[in-house]
Amino acid sequence: MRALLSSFLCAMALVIGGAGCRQNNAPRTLFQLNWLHDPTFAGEYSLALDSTLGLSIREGGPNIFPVAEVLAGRANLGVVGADIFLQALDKDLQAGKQSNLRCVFVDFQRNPVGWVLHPDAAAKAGLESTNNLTPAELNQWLFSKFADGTLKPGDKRGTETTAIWIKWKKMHALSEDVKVVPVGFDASIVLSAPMITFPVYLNEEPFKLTEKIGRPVLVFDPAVDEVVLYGNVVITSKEFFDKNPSVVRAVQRGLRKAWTDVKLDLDGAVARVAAVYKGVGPEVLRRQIDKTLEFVFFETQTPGVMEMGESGRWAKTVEGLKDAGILSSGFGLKTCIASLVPPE
Amino acid sequence: MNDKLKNFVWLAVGVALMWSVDFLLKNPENLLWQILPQSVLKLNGEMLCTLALTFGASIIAWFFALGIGILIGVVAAATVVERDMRPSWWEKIGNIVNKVYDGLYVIPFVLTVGFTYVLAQKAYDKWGLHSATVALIMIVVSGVVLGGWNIFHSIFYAVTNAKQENRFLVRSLFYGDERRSILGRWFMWVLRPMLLVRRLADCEINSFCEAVTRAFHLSIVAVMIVESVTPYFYENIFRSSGKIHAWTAGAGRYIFNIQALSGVNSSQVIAGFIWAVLIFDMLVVGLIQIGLNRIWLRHYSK
Repeated sequence: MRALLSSFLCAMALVIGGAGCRQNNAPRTLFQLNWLHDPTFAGEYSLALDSTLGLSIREGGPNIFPVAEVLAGRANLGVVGADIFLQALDKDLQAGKQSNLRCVFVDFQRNPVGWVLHPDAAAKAGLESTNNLTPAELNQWLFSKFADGTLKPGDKRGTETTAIWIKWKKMHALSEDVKVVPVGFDASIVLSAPMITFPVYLNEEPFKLTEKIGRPVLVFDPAVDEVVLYGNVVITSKEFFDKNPSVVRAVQRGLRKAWTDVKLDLDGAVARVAAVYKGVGPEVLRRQIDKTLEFVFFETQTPGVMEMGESGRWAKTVEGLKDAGILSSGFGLKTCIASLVPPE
Repeated sequence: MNDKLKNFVWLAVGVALMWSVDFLLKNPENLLWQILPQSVLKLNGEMLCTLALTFGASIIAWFFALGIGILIGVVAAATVVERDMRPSWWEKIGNIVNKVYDGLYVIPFVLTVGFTYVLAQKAYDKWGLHSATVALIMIVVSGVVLGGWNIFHSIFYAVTNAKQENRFLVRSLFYGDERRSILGRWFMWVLRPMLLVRRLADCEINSFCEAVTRAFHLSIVAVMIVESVTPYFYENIFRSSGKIHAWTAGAGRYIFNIQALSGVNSSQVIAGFIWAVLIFDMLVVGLIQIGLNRIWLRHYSK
């Protein structure tokens, strides 16, 4: 009995001591990722090295929602797709509320989404080699195959892939009779060479699939046809920004510098990402980060910038998502602009 | 504990739970009011439409659970019901089926869904099936893996764990020498074990009926898991050329989307969904119990 009592007291002392220790620590800024560690967050890993920011990076996952985490105060900043940020604003608009969400940085100046096709499926559809085709001609060939029914377009549905698909197919004047196949999130289906194109993050899955298949998968990039929407953005809550404007401004400056550092020191970035992201070799990882940088520095030399004009990229992103049925018809650019805090 | 005290304890637990939710979410002014059953009235037409799809799918899933659970249960149990009269390999078949089905039940359902969705899509692509087949396969999986296992389990264990007196009793029902004619042999080898299984399952009829009602609870749960894992699941039936129709998400995905976008501000709508599911579940289980009483249980009541 005495032993039990002393164990209990020891445990209590540890708990109280631990709580005391936590209280003595300076508060850290929690940065919530929207997915498991991967090269998409190379800039954020670099940002976390700046000890003056006191930043803790928290990994995401299938059941972690950065918008909910930020709004509930369980995280201070988070990475989400621009579509998720705008949908959250739209939900608040529909509920007649002022949104408490703010976007402070655009990580990806273009959507990272594209479609892939197994080389065997391409051969079956009549394309043995892509050597003589430009990326634009390759896209043209793809849409001709959608039109004649040889290939079917896959879509993850409800994500940014849907908005991009709608804009892309409009551009190619594809018939409404061509229906999309709702595919899940498991890209391994591509390995069985289905006659379906599969939507992917172009900086990750194509490299993994190519390594697995042993030959390059065919990549179709909508940005080649000038279908460009914003990709990942960094969000915070109005409350956090109002109370800690200097922290948010420091993160904006830091993230801008971090992405530039990744570009200048690719080897260092490979080492940092490799510490948390397993399963691919350094060469594949280098190519993945290189591709990620394409999205960050797309048509700009300055990471994080926001085009807020009537014909700017935010306007195009809003329009694209409205066309796809992801945003309600009442949602306007003004609502979006009111929730933006662009870097200075 | 007497019933009055028990009710009081339950009430106290309920209030404490609601209070703690209120306290933890730091939204004390109206959260408690928001999550009460009247939150169902806050669901709009689109939400009710998506709920209707979920409810329809869960009823279909339950029918598959019932049909396939009984079929596999009776066939597997038939191989072990007359151990003394059959070769030993005969019995192994039933035991292997039991182990495999147990394994399917134990594997996290999300993994089973992910795997079978990929398989269903491969089948759709290779064999040129109708896209609705993918949805049907997933609804069958929702019914059979969780609810179906419960029904299978109740039949199989009614046989393997049968009391000695029940065994003697059911065997005596089919006593006689039927082995002379071809029909008699057929009866002996195929039909009789199945009839013995049915009679032994009757001896544990309460366990079987519980499994049937539990199968419905699990069918709703399984369908909602399928909906949350596979985006816009009902688009496999109602195909689109691109534009999203939110009602094709199903309740599982709809709740998931609301959670992803709204933090704690959406508690009323989520509560509305949960209450709607609970009310529907209660109604259908009530109907199932009436059916079970009419078919089986009335023969065993006083």
